[in-house]
Amino acid sequence: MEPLIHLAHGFGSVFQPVNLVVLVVGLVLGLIVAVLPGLTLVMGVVLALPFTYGMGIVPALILLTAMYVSGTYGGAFTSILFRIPGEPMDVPLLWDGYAMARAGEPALALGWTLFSALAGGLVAAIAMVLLSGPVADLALRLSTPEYFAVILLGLASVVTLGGSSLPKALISLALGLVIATVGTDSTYGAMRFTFDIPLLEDGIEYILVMVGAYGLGEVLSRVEQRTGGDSVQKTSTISTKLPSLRAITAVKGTFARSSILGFLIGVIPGAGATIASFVSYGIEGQYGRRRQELGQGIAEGIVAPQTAATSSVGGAMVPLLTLGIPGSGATAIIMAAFLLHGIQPGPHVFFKSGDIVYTIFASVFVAVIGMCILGYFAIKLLVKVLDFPEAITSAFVVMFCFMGAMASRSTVGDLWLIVAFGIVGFLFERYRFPIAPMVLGAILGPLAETSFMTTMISFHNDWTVFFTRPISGSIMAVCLAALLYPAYREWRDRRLVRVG
Amino acid sequence: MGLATCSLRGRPCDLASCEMQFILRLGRAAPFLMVAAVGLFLYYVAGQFDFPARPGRAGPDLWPKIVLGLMLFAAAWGTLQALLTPGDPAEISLLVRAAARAVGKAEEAQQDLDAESLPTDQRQPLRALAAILAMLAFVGSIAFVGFTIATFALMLSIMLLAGYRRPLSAALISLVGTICFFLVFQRVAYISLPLGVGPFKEFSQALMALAGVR
Repeated sequence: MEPLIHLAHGFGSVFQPVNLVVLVVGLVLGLIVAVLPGLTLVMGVVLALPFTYGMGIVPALILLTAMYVSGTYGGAFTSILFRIPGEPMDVPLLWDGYAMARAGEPALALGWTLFSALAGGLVAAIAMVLLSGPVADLALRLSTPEYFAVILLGLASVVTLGGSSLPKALISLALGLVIATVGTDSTYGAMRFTFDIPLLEDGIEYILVMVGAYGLGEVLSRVEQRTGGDSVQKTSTISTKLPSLRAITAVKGTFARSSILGFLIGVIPGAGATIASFVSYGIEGQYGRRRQELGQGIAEGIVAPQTAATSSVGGAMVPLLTLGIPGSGATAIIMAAFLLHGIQPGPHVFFKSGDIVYTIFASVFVAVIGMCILGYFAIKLLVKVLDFPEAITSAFVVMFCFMGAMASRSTVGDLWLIVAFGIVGFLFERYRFPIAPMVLGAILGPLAETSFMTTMISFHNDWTVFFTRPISGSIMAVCLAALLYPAYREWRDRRLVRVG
Repeated sequence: MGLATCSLRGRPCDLASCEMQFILRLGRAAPFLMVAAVGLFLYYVAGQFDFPARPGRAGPDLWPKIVLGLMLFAAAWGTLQALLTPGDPAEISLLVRAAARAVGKAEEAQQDLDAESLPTDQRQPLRALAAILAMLAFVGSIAFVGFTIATFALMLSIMLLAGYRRPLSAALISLVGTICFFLVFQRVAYISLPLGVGPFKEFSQALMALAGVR
């Protein structure tokens, strides 16, 4: 009963005029960044972060959450209508959504995505509210060795599920963790990796890492590929036609499977919307009633990936708000917004500042409904965004990045740092190193180091404590398995190729 | 064509193609070797941290050394993988690969995921280098020429480097963009901007007066 009362207060907060305006702005921006060529969801949320400096924590979090929610939906438009996946998570939508559109039913395909996003988003939001309390309660009982093991598990799963080779993902993570150590050590006052540069003595702000690597790095990569001159040719008739109740009832099994699966995958750090979307499509291909027709433009092929992708957002909020562990680029930025306002998300915040947490929960509900309304009525306008040449977007993104860096500490030195991280992001993209582990390493590094050092001090430098205590030992074993299994699979795949 | 015993494969092969293979593998290993060099240097630096050591208590160098150890291990693993195995490992997530394979769309998924990214040999790294130089020039010159001129130049150069084919429109858009950013900084975000020196400062001040900023 208590969560419902908190949630009601959360809705009250979301419906305050300022917060509601911010939510609508966030929804529109999220849809635009998902559609606009040259921008990705994470990049869009990163670029919005500096604008939240002057806001209170509640509107700041509402803005970013709304962008995150609607960003998982906007890419469906371009996938279905023009066969352009706005995000990797939209790729499975190409296979049935675009096929349905080509078969003369683009409006119905868009209607299915709208309904799927609504259903998946709402089911996940309910699950998020129900699950968060017990998880936070459990997290409160963890002592430092266990907490360190949980952080390590979060980082390990980001490395494992990130979609790159393990050595590359590990290097990216290690670099992020090293970046987090730069500056004056809080215990001994030792200068770490400052190289006598005064700017580095206060440490490197993780916002510079995020904005540089995601923003400038992506622009540099697009400049190298020189894809920015043209806009996309579009069809003139764009509308959304909602499916009939009978048709919806016929795919209720797909809705149920994909919502639950999407939510659970969202909870796992590093998994996120792309994996949810693909796995849900894969499950539909294995167990769906019409699995033989999948790929030919059937409703199940749209419902499964879209429901799971939107559902994963609610799942991803659970570890962020209850454990303080972001599992993706977008949730890392939402965590950054917390930290910028001096709040470290985790179980303590969940119980002490429940009003903030439940306002975020309520904003997910309102955002899911709001994005569907916007998607239904504003689709023609949103698709017009495709007329905008990518080169112009790139120039504005670069300036927004510099603006973000300047707004942080108002020093030119930060501009040098942001360019440096832009170059790192560009090199990472070129040599296919994932950026997310570095960003998560930079943001979780201080927390990981603090819990590690506290454990070492409390247990007289006995590192075996991480493995001998039952809970931390079990989590460490899962960590090792999570890291070793993909290595084994890679080795097995290579061996099969050699033999075959 | 004469076949000789290859040191890489341990069996007879065409030496020219084998040497090419070796060079390719070395190229793939190069980023890992660079990371290893940086990691070793930072490990050395971590050993030189100046702090009052307390007996039996871990110092501020312990955590960085553990992390750098992980980096060196990963770099060594990546180098060996690049040198000893042919081709790049799959670059999509294990679960995504498994799901796509389950519906018989493994290749299609890879193509669709890579659709936005050109193969390395079709890219134009000099353009990216020019964009990096433009950004560095922006940061280096902003204190001297002021925010507005530096911003205009950067926006214009990025647009042209990114492939925008109409220089006049690009200049106009850059001008409008610069004015917008200037107003947002000065009137909305209240962030003080570098005004430049000499005539550039006078120009910036004139603009500020026009925008009603003191």
